[in-house]
Amino acid sequence: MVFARRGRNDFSCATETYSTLSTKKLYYLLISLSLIVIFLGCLSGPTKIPIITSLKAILGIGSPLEYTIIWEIRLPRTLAAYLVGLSLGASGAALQGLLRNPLAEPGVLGVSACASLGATIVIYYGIAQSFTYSVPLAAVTGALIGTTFLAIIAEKANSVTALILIGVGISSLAGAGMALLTSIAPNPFYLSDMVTWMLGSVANTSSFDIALCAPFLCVGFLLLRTQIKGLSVLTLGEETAGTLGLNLSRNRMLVVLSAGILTGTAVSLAGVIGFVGIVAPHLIRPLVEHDPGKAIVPSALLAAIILVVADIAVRLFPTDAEIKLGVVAALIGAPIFIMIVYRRNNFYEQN
Amino acid sequence: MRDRSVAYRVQNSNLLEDVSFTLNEGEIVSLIGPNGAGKSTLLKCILGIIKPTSGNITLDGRDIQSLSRVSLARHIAYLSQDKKLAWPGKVKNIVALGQFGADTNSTKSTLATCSALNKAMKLCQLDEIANRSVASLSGGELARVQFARAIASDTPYLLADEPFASLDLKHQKELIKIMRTCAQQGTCNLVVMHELSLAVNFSDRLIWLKNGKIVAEGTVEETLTPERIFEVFEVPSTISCSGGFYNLSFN
Repeated sequence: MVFARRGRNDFSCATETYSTLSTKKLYYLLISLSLIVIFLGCLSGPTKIPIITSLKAILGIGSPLEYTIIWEIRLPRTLAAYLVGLSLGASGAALQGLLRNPLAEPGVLGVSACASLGATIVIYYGIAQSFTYSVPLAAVTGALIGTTFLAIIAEKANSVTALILIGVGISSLAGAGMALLTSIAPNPFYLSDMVTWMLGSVANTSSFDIALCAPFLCVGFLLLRTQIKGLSVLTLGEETAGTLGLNLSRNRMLVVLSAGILTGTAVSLAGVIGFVGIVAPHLIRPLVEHDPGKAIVPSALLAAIILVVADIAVRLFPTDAEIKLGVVAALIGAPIFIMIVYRRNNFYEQN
Repeated sequence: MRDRSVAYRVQNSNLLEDVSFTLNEGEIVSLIGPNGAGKSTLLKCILGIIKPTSGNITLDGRDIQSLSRVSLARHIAYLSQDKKLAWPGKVKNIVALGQFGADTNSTKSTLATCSALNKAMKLCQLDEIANRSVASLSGGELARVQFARAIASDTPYLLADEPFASLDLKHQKELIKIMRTCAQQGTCNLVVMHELSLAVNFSDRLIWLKNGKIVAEGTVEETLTPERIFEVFEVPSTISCSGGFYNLSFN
């Protein structure tokens, strides 16, 4: 009797042959792609600028108009998309390593929504206008509350499904909070700002915004960097990892903290952009031999590339009003998320 | 040969009561007892996962509470009952995770780490499947991978919680052989065993645990009696010995 059905008990998804691509080559590839997409990001936009003129403008020669378009509109926007992707990819991969679950992601688990709620509150009360740092600070705080809550719950909830459902719950709760604030917003200007957070966009990002977020991103990445080996050893489960010398509570705290900071900063730059943090690590994992620690940096780079490409697509799409980046990210990411859940094999199901 | 010994005096309010014993180099000691006797709890106390409410655990004459997490990890390797892995990594990478706490500060220690890894791979016959994903392995192979991971830490002590559970006879035999080789090379092995008939046939010494207390401790010949089995497991039994092998039958 031959069983042809690909069921939960076969490892067809997990037994893929390992790629011969070495980690070093993977890095080179991703970094070169990054440079290419950032360059393309500087070239694309509604205003047609010939490539030669764009190149001149990048080098600082040419007319002030083109210089302004490239240096003050397109480059900051592209960099914002890149940094947001970088943060979301890294925090997605880190949360997946920590929770030992391929479906963990700041967007799915409601961390992004919490960050967005934080930002929305600050905008609603008009604090954002008087104190510029308040938006990233509020977003980071919101994200940290969400991540901490999840880390506590994850310890208690043994099943993946429960965790994801709790994430959905957190996400809905924060969404309701935002909806409440938008429906009672006294000022239409605040209202449009808040809608932008909810849908996610990097349009109108200035270099000032990026400079504002840079310190947060640096702290987040540096904290995460210290826990890469720890995330790898968590493959063996918490108990065994602990007996091998890993400080579990410290590891958990630092990963949660860095994922919270990174997600919060990404949200403060671009609002809620979901699923990037799940798609990029999913594609990267087979290339790094399923090592959750080694997956972090390549996942971050790939997520950044994906988001810049999505943002270029958004700009070039011939619609009257520009489509929001978060919408495109969800349009691409959500089906992949569903596919991962569908194809999730026994290997992941064990946890 | 260094004289290695561990002494435990543990008091854990409701689970363990004044437990004290020593482990010697080159020995396989089985911790046996019924469910809830405190076997796994005792193991976790030694590993520092659970803190004893009173008493202390000394390792080579030092209180384990005074040892750092990493230095404890360099002394004791642990093979958990839960052999599941979160990600389908490569066999050799999983085994190498056992060296997480290893000292890599000097060239000498790095070389030692490297040779411990190769030794573990060889001993557990994993060289052929070194580059395969653990997701493609059978239960027996996975047990060998986990065992190799534990001995790759190159520690003087190995603590294992039900290492042979859910393995068929052939794989049990394989793993016992590997453990015996480790013991011959000088490790102290403490194994929590559920299956009495298996434990009496491969252990050097037995520690009988019931309700958190040690009922008896000694070699198999010294401690294995139907009365003791009844005392600990509350099951009448008959024991026969032929060709150095014990045959237990339970009525």
